[in-house]
Amino acid sequence: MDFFSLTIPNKKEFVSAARLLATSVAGLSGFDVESIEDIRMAVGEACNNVVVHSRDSYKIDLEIELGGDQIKISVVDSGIGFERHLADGIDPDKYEGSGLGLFIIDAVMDDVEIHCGDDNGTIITMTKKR
Amino acid sequence: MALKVRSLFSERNDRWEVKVIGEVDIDSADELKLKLVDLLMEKNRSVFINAEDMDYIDSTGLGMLIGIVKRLKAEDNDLIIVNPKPGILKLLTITGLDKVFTVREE
Repeated sequence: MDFFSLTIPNKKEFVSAARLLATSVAGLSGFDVESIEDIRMAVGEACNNVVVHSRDSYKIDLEIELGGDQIKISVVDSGIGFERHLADGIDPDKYEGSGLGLFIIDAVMDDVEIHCGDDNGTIITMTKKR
Repeated sequence: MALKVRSLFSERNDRWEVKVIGEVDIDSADELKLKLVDLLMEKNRSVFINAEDMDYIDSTGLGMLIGIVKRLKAEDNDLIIVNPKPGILKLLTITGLDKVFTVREE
């Protein structure tokens, strides 16, 4: 198992750095172009969620585990935990910005877990298999 | 990658033609929104987005475009996204937004 990690400030201008690390690791480990695009979208949306919803967290931690036939990526914030759920679908007429990011993550990754701590932030863990 | 936007009004096609280059994400979506709103304030006509060099768009960018579509539809105009890259086309398809925007290849 190989591990990678990156800590970025919880600021929108640095989300692209998290996307870049995740896609670089996926590319170097032989994931195909479509999977790399999926990973880019999922990591971007997970970080966006922190920027938008966890303003009390000053940083975002990106943790990547690479091993076997999969890449497992966790996006961790240190804000106050809050309830989130995966949207069942998107109604563009009612869409006002929330829910779409988590819907995308769920659609493009093979497995997604969201752990909301009572007082120690939220962890979104996403797995993509080869 | 930074976002670049080039636009011109096509008298022949009676529409705005906008080339979007780079990434439309949580950091840059507002920049594109301001540009598009400026265009529509000048002349509310359909917007034709050449997306062949658009590398990435996230939910923030999509949400912004939905707002633009609502503004366009109010005057029977459309948002047309042309030649999106495969990853963006997939995103539009899985979100169902390929039914909200006109998406095509030329």
